Amino acid sequence: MRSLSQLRRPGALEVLRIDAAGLLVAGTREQLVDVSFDDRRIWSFWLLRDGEEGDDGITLTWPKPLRPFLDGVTEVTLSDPGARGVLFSRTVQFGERADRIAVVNPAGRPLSLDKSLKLVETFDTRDAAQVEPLLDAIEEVLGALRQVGLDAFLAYGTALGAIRDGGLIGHDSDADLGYVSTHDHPVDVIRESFRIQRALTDMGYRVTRYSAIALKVHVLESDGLDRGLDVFGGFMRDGTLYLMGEIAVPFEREWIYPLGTASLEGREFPVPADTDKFLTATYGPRWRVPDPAYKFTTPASTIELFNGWFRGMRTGRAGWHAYHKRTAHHAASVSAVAEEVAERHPDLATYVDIGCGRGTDVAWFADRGVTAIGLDFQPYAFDTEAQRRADDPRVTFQLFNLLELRHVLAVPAWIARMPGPRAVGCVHVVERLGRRGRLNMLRSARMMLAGTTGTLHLQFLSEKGRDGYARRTGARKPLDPSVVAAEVEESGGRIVEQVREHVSDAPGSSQVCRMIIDWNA
Amino acid sequence: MFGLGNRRGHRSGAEVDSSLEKRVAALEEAVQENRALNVRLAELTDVVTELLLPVAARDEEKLEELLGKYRGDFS
Repeated sequence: MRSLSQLRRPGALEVLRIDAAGLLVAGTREQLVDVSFDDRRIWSFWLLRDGEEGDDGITLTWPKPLRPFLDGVTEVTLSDPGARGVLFSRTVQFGERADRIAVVNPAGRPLSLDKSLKLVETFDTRDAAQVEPLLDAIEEVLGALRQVGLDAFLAYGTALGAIRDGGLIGHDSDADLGYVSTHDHPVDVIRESFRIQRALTDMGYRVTRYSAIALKVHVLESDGLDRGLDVFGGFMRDGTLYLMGEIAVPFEREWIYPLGTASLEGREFPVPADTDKFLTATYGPRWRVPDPAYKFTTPASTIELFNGWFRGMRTGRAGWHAYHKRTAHHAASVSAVAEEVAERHPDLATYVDIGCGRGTDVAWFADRGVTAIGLDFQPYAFDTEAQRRADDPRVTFQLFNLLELRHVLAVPAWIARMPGPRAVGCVHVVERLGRRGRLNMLRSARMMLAGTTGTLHLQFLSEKGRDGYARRTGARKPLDPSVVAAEVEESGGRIVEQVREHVSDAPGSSQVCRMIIDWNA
Repeated sequence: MFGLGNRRGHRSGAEVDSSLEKRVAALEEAVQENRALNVRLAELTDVVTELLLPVAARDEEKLEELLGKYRGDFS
């Protein structure tokens, strides 16, 4: 660390150390601090809430996403976003490089940390020309929602920015919309959300479901950027407003509808009728005071309520995305399960791979003249193979989530109509599932095989060795075969064959369990 | 259910506290399970209304089309 200059002001913050590890600050008073590199805000924190108090001061560690950038020179400025202005400023040398530090993405666009400490393109780095496409997108999605019968409005940070400042909040990076259903029971609100997703898809939008009542509607902005707008479902029940995913407060419908309007960057958008009550419900009574480091203090009871009612559909999906990203360049090899199936069913007509990943087994079967279906809840994994096989009539890839009953019922109903004999493979999937997911896997396999003499071929890690196999396959942790056996029995199936074998001859190698299961007894 | 048996017999204050804690934990788990039924019921109803009714109508072509459309918006 090298200090080249220092600027102190009255009421300044006493920074005792600043280096690649973080900041050491003297002081005991809670305060909000903006951190800028060369005059651009990078991060905001609350000193006491986010720092760690020690004998010599309060330590703030650089958030992890920022650390790879800390090599070079920059002027670090700490300031109070309120009235007090600059609290500290110093040119700091991080690492060895003599260049200025540039916190940018591969396209050179400036990034900063949002309130969830993710490095994103925040609005304060976008000029008017870049904001227009976003406003167009908001208008378009609000219009589409109106067409499917929903009076949606600006919500969360987007509502706060419009109502408080008439503009987008600088440290925000996305646009949020909300609606309050006319239904008052979670079941009906969820069913309505399914209907909305279908209607929006019919209108040509790509829609991603994040929970039973939260969707992301993708819009191709006029600047060519694919932007996802979050649409949060809500409803009123017994005098309480529930708005996914932070709000459960006593409320009145009249405080939402009929909607009012607020100006956002010069355009009028719908907002709840009583903006003070709505923003107080969202951010608390101090919503008028800007806080770039704001963290929701949603009560645990509300989080539990929403978890129970609406969440749990995407468990594990981000982890598999990371796995496929990390292993995309690894050599592909056909699984032992695929070879076992081919040998056991020489006359196989249809092969289904539950958790097909990149689709290596699917392609292998298709090349043998078998109709092959690849199912995975992480489409990122099979996208490349699906594109490559777009003209191959024997290959279909389908998004399939074992945590969604609609998928578990409808996809097997489609597959059960395909030519037999059919067989199902499932390789290194069940280790990553909970009991509900595993039972759904067995239920769907049973339906897919209905009416044929086909079998389910399962392979999972039964003993984790010191050979990196668990990481290489994405299995992570072993699963006790007796647990699987009990669930097979519960599903009405039987294990026809079961083998356990080490994956190599090396000492301490992992052991996998393979089961052949049928429901023909 | 929910540790009702723990209510019986004479127990010290500490034992009562500990059994109460266990009963609350069991109750919380049961409440979460019940809450999750909302999604299951909505999913099931959706499948029945969107897919099962056409099946009952025995319209083979329509059913094939609907099965394709139904899985088309999975995300």
